[in-house]
Amino acid sequence: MPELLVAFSYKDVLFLLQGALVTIAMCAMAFSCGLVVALLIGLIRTARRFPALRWIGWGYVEIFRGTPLLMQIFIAYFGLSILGLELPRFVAVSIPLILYTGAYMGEIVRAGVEAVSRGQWEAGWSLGMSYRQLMRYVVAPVAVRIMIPPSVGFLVQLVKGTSLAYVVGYVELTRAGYIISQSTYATMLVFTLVGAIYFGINYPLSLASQRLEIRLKRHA
Amino acid sequence: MLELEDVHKWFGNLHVLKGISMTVSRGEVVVVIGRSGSGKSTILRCINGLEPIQQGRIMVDGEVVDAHSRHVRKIREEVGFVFQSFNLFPYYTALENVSLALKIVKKMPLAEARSIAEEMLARVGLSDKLDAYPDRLSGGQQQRVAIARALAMNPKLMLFDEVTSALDPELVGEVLKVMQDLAEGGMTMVVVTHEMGFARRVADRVLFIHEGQIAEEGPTAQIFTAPRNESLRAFIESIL
Repeated sequence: MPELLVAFSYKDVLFLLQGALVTIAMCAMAFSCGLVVALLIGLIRTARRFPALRWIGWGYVEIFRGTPLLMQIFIAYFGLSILGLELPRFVAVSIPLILYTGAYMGEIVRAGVEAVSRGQWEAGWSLGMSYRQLMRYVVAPVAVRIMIPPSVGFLVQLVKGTSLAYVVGYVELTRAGYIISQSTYATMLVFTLVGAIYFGINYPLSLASQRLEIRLKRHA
Repeated sequence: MLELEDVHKWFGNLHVLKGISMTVSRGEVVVVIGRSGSGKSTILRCINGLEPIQQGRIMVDGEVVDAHSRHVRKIREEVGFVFQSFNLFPYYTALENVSLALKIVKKMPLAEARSIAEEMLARVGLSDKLDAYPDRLSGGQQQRVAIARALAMNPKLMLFDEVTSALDPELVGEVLKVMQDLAEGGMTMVVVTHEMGFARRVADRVLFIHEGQIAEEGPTAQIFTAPRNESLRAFIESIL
């Protein structure tokens, strides 16, 4: 055991941390872009007036939630290159993550919007508000508060989900751990460390969400 | 001010309004009574375009109400609506509840919206609750904020949909008092209510709705003392 640890140096730790940064960047990218997709999906899924759009939103959500993320990453990564689209790896891996986020968060947005009572809508309408004003000033303040816990839940899933990008050789945290464990054979140590880093990313997220929930809960 | 001509409304196969015709002139207070399910609330909701009608015509101050047109928003600005369940915006203070639409719908500067909101809340006796959130207010106070919110838009017509039905008995009086003040100030009002005492004191005219039709209408005194319609007589007896 001791001689195995000798092979494991601070450089390896730095390499892991670099991988962690890539993981965080990927999540930030997927979550922020995915949120834009999700808002769109959430809004068209709750639009009473446009049934055709609602069906498209439904199909999108079902497909991306009903298939493994791993498969989506494979298809996006290799499929796009078969189609002749040579995208930078970061982008090729981000696209499925964004669409996956869009589907899950889209459902969370929909649930948030639908949780706002009919009476709130009618109060806004009776004051002469437009759909957009209602969404922005009446529905959003209520819906966002409802959306926080499931969103953080999803974000934590996403952080772990990015580890699947290792299958296409993209060096994020998990791949970095794999590479080091191959060269040092300190497999247990390396993956314990990798796990600790994931936890170190996710736990503060949970804490922050709890704080935010408590702060926003006033006057509920 | 308000005119309904042979208004019909269906919910699916259910024919809820069967040819309602009525007029309300400026400054008049009309109270609408009837059993639950008779369609009286639906009349108010149609006037405000919250429910589309399938036949007939509704005019507010010379303009046709079409629930599907964009123009209905303009009409709603001029028609105040107070709901049974208050429907205050939960994350806004009393003051913000009243000033929100002034800011975003009427595009008023902040200071002006604020001063109107303060004035309206004073009018309903809530000057000391400007910064309170709805969850810190009693039902009666919430309903008075809701009335202030509707009044702030400076409506030509106010619609009240069973606004005291969700209140504890001891809180009903404070809300009715505000409404009575409004009526005495010359506001045109259509009030759906079960408060017969209020109807007697305040109404100029009473409509009795039965199974989607106006079964009887007339001056307040006549409706209560000399009802001609059989179902109205039964209704009044069941309430008194």
